[in-house]
Amino acid sequence: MKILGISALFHDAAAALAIDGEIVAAAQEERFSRIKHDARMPVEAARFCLAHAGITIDDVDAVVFYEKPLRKFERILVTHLREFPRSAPQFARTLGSWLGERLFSRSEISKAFDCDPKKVLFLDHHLSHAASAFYCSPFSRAAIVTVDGVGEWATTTIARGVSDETGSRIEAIAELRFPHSIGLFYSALTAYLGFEVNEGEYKVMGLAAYGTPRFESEFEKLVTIGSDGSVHASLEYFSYQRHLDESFTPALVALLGPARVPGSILQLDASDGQAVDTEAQRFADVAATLQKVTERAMLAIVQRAKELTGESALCLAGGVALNSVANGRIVNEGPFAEVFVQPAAGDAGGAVGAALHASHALHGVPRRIGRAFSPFLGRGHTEDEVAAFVATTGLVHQRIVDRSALDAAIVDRLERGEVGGFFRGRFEWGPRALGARSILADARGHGVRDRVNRKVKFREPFRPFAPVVLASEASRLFEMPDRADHLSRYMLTVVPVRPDARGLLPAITHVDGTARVQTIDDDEPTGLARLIRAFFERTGTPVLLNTSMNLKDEPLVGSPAEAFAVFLRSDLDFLVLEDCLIDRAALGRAVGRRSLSHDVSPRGVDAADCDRSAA
Amino acid sequence: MIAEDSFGEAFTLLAVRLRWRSDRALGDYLRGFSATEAGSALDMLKAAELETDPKLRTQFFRHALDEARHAELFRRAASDLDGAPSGRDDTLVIRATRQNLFARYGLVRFLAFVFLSERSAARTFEVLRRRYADRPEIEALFATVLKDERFHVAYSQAALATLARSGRAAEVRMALWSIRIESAWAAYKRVGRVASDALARVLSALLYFIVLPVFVLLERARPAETGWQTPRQLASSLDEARREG
Repeated sequence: MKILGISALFHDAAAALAIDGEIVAAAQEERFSRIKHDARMPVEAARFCLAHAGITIDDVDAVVFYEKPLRKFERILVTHLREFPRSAPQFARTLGSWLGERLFSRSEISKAFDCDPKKVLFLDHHLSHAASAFYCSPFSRAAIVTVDGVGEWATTTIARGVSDETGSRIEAIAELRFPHSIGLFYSALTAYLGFEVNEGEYKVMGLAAYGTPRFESEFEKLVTIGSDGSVHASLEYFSYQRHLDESFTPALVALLGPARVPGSILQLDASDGQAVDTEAQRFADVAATLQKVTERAMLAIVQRAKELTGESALCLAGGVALNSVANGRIVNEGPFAEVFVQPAAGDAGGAVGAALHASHALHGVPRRIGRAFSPFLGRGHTEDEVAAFVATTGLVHQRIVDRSALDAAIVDRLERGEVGGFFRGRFEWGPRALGARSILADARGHGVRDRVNRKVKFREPFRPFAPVVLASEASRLFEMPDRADHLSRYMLTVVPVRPDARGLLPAITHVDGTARVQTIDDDEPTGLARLIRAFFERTGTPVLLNTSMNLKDEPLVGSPAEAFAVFLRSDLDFLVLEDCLIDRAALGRAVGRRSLSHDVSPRGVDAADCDRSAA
Repeated sequence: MIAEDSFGEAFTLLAVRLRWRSDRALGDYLRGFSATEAGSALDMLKAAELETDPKLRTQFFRHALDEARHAELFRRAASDLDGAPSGRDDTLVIRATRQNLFARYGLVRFLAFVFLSERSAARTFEVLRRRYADRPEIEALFATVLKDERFHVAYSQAALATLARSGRAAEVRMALWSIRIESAWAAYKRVGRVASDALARVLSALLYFIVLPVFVLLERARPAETGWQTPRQLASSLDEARREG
C-alpha cells in the first residue's frame, strides 16, 4: 500500500510517502524551492519522495490532503459574516484566493501531481496532526493533544489513539474552536513583538528568557485559561479573525504599550558595556509573560487530556508543540508517564499524518509499534555525487575516505575554535538540524556563540544555540528528566544545564541557564555521534554546538550546491560534504564573498551581434 | 554600447521620473530588484545542479552567486536610502520565487532566456547608472551590478554561439524567438491580471455589501462556541475521506 501525504496552501508545504505503513521519504517543499515556508503544492517534494522509492504517481494508491478545504472555506465565510463590516477589506482578497484554486482542491491536487482525481482523499487538519504524532510514536495507545493556530474550525483537540488487534484508530474527544486559539494568541503577540508570524515564534521563546513575567494582570484581560484547559481570547485585542496581515488591534497597544518596530535592535545584554534598553526590556518582559501563560495553558490542556482519556502516554503535535520550553514543563510537571512530540509538529507534519492515517486507519495496514522514529527522511547524495560536485567547483579539497581520519581532521579544526558545516546523508524532517545539515562548533569557547551568530548565522544575538550531546553522557552535564528521551532525540525540549557545567559550556547555555538539548545515540546514521565521541576522547567534553546549515531567513540547505553557497557567503572555516573536506583557506582569491565573474572579461555587447552570433 | 535602444531608454527614464520620486519609492524599487535577483539566484543554482557540462555548470554556479550578491547589495542600498530596518526588506527576498526555468525550458531555451533577460537588465541598469550620475552611491551600485550583468550576457551569448556552431543553429534561433514571444505574452497577461483584479474587487464589494447582510443577521443569532466542544466524527472510512468538506 503506497500513500502520498500532502500538506500545502497555508505554510510549510510538504510531501510524505508511506509504503506499507512506514514513512520512506518526507520533505518540505522549501528544501527544494529555497523559499522559506513555501506554501505551494509540494510538487518537487513529492517528486523526490516517489523517486526515492523508485515508483511513479501511477503506483500510488491514494494522495491524501491534510485538511478538508470546504470546511475551512465555511469557517472563513462565517468569520467574514461575524466580523461584518470590518472584514470588508479582506473579503475580496480571501474570495479571490479561494475561488481561484483552493475551492477546487481535488482538481488542483490531481493536476499538480498528475494523478487520478478519484485517488485524492481529505482528512481533517487536526486529525492529520494527531496521526503524525501517534503513528510515529512508539506507543500502542496514547492521549493525543494537538495545538496550533487553526485548522478547519478546531484550534486545539484532545483525542485517543489506539492500535490493537482490531486495527488502528484515532477517536476525537474534545476540541476548542476558532477564534479561541492559543496558537493564534501566541502569533499575535509574536507580531506585536516585531517578529514575523509563523517564523518568529522561536525568537519570542529565546527573548522570553531575558524578561520577567510582570504583565500577568494585563494578559488576564487578553486571554482566559480555564481550569479545564479551555482558552477564551478577548477579541477586542486581536484582529487575526478578520485580517490576513494584522493580528492585533490598537487596544492591545493601549494595554501593553507601543509595539516593537520589526528589525529594531533589542539591546538586552549589558556585558558589552552598553546599558540595557528599557524598551527592549519591556518587550522581553512581554515575551516572558506570553511564554508563562502559554506554558500554563499547555499544562492545563494536557491535564484535561489525562482526565478525559486516562492514558499514560501523551502524543503532541501542532505548531505550539514546537515550544520546547513548554514541552520541558509538560515532561517534568505533566501527568503523563511518557511524552512524544512529532519532530515536524507544524503544518508540514500533516503530510506524514495524512499518509499514515490513510495507511493504518483507512486501509488497515498493521502498525509496527515500538521503534524510534527516524527524522532522516529527506534527500541524500552519494559520496561520488558529492565528490563530482566538489570537483566542478575547481576548489582544492581533501577527500578522506577513512571516516576515523576524517573525524580526527574535523576535531582538529573544532578544537582550534573553528566553525564548520557538516553535510551527511539524508536531510532532516522537521525544522531542526539534527546532524545531517548542521553547523558545528566547540561549545566550550567563550567567543564561539557570538562568532557563529554574527559571522555565520547573522541572527539576533539574544537567540540561543543548541548543544548536541552523546546520549550516554547527557545526564552528566544536563538535568535530563527520565521521560525526555522521545523529545531530546529531536531537539524538542529545554532542560537546565547543570550548574557546574554552565561555565564549561558558555556557547550553548542560555541566559536562564537552560539549553535546548539534542541527545544522540551511537547508532544514528550521519556519523555525528562518532565525531562527538572522537571530540570527547580528545577533549573530555561530549558536546558540540549544533545549529542549522542555513543563513538568516533561508531554509535549511538540501543539496551540496546549497551547502557550498552557504559556505561561500558566510565565514564558516570549513565544510564537510560527505567525505570531502574543504577549508576556507583553500578557497583562494578566485572565490569568496566578492564577485566571481572577473575571470571572464566583461565586454560591451552589441544587441544585433548577440542575435547574429547566437543564431 | 548596450543602452542604444532609445525607446527603451526613454521608457525607463519616464518610469523613473513618475515612480521613483522619493528615496522611499526608490528604496521600494530596489527591494523589488533584490527579490528578482534572489529568485534568479535560486534558478541559476538549480541550473548549476542539473546541467552536466562542467564548464556551463561552473558558469551557472558563479552566476547564481553573483545574483545572490546583487540581491544583498540592493537590500542594503534600499535600507540606506529610506532608513527602514532590515527586517522589513528581508520579507521580499524570503518570498523570492524560483521558476524552475532550467527544468521547464531545457538547456537551449534556458540559455536563450538568460541571454535575453540579462541583456535587457544590462540595458536598464546602464540607463539607471547614467540617470543617477549625480548620486555616486546609487551610480556605483548600478555600475557594480551592470559589470556582472555584462558578464552574464557574454557567457550566455558565447554558450549559444557554441551550440549554434555545433549544428543546432536552427534550434538556437527558435529558442530566442520563443522566449521573446513568451515574454510578450507574460507582459500581456500581467496587464490583464491587473484589470481582472480590479473588476473582481468591484464585484466582490457588491456581493459583500448587498448579499452578505442577510446572512450576517442569521449568523449573529447563533450562540458563540466557547470552551470545549464535542468534535464531529473523524474520518474512519474511505467514503468519508473522499469528501472535501
